[in-house]
Amino acid sequence: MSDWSVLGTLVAVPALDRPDLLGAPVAAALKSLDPADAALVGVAEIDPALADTTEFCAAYGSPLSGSANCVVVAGRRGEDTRYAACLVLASTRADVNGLVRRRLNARKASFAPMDDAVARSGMEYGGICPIGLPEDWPVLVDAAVAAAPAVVIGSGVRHSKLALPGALAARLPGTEVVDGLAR
Amino acid sequence: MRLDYYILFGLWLAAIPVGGYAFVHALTQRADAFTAADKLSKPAWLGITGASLLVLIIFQGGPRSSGGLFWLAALVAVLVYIVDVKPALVRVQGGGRGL
Repeated sequence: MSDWSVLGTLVAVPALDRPDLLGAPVAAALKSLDPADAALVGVAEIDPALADTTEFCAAYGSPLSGSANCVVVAGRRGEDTRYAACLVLASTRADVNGLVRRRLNARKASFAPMDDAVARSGMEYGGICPIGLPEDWPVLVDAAVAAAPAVVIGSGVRHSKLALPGALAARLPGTEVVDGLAR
Repeated sequence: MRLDYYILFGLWLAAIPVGGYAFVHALTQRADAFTAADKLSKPAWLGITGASLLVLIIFQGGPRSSGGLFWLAALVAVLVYIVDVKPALVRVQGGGRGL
């Protein structure tokens, strides 16, 4: 049984019990996980107007350092654009222009524009989830997320949030734990 | 009344809206863009542009100047934000050329 108290005043249920609260790519990716791992992921319904991390934390009494933001980064080298997702605690900021840019072997790195991130991930903005992203996107997980007992992340949609152990977030398919990703 | 006083007065008058613009711009940026662009944090730049705007309003330049060029220092800080920080923020948010 996982600890979902990081969701504050919300009551979570196992994520796979409520597919209506999951983005389609997220639900598909969760189903393909080891059932024992998938059972560690909880979901709770929220007001979609409160999906942005600071508002979410204030409204539901969830600690800011217990939320992880998933930002999509686009790295460009010439005509070639590569994407990566970065999972960092909401109390910290991703070092996009340093570590992420080097990891993507790009000359320039920037936040992917909102439309671009939404269209390519199939998820709603504000609810981007590291589970179920396109397979060729590396998911870079800050070491502080991996060490957290539990983190709140997006669910692919704005009207819910997921909670899962940091250690699970760090061993999902396609993830790499990066020390010093966040500052 | 010397001409250079009026030049400084004009400069001061023009600097206030520029300072206001820089502060509002900093206010409307996402906080993680500042880190991503390798700049000081958002609260730091809000403090710099906000304090500069305040100095610009309090220390009037030109003929009735109370002396001191504090407001000129504030103008420089605001211009650093506009010519250095702001373009970096735009670039790191996928704006500008090459997209």
